[in-house]
Amino acid sequence: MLLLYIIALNTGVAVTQRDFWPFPTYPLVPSRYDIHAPNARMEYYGLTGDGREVPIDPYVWSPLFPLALDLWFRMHFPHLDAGQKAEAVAFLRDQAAARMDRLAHGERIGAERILGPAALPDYWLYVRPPHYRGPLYGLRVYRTEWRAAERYRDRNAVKRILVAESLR
Amino acid sequence: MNAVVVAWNHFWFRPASPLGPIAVRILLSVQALWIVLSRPELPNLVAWPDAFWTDIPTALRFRFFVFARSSTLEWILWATLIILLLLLIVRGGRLAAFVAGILLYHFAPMENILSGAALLGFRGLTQPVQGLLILSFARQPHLHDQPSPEYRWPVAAIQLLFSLTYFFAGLSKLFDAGWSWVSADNMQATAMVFTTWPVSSPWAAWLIAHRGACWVIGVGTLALELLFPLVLFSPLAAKILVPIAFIGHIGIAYTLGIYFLSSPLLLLFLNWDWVAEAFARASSTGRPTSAPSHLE
Repeated sequence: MLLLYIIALNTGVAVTQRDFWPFPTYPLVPSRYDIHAPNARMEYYGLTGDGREVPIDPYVWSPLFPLALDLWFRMHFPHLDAGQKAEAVAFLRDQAAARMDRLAHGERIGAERILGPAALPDYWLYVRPPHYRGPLYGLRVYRTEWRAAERYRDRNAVKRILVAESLR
Repeated sequence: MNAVVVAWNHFWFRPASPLGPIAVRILLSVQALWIVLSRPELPNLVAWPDAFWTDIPTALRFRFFVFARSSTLEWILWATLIILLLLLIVRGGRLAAFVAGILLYHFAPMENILSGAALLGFRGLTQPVQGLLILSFARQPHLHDQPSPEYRWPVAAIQLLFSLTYFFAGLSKLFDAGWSWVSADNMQATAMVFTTWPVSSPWAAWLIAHRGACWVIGVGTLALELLFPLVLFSPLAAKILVPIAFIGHIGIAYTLGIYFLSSPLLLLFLNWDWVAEAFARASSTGRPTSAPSHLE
């Protein structure tokens, strides 16, 4: 009966293409990509004492990885009221500042906290920018938009829209 | 009809040695431990401010039992680690496999529950959850037991589910994009789009510049995915398709920046009886043996 149940459930998943984890559809890069279609994602920058923006390491958001946080910003953040938005971004600001500081002192954070370099990454292999060494006084969250055909030729062909800012 | 029953019984219930389920239990436990030890801060998520949780459906929290406070969850995470170690080192038992499966089911969506728990299949705990729950229904093997049908069906079921990872990935391409997914244009466009995302993709530029390679990768990927269930029935297919799948994962990691967290579980398709025999021969003759390559 267990075997029939497993087979029936997976057949249902395959036919309906509805993900029913732990019986998923495994949609690994299933679409046709269009290099002229718009792309969007969130970018996070810390603010230094002299007002400069420095990129935030993708591991500071642990236990979330950036893709999950991006989706939350796009799906849920717009529906929050002003107080909730301020509370959420202030929390992210403090977590980013604390963990960037730990990174600057050579400590491990996020996925690498216990296993170090042997830790499994997220299924996205994020580029990790050089660690800024110094205190951060704020956080800015941008929505970036681009088309691959343009950005492939020019890395700066990106439109940035400020979504949230939190200062200490 | 009789032939179908015979084939069904041969596939699921032909006598098999206890090494298969023992190896599967160890592989699934190691994979789960590796993931959990790489996600030590999962319990902290429930302590994030209410603003992050206000829009999360209650049904989603009920589905994955996400109610406890952070400190409670830390204890539960430690309990999960201990049970997985029991399963890995001292065999554990059916109850331990069941409890570990349920606890992993609880923790698996924590990384992206705030974004609707999408794409959980790629977070590496799908096979341990499925596999440990299946093992909890199976007889517990002892190393020197005689071959038995009871040692065949759980291994076959877990291998079947893992082979669907590839088969369903192929199906989703056909449902979503159709056969044109394999075209060089699509491979080039995919690689180009991924180079503009914040992921590491050092081989993408080379691929974009070589249309012939794009065609080979497009056709080869879809063929591999749709044919992968053959590894369940044919040792020859396993010898060919499993190594290609492993190489494919390396290629995807360097081209698109996507790492398939469950790729070490391709070892589920190794013929562990052959591995044991090879080691036994090597230790009895005292001579080194070549690396095992035979796949069931």
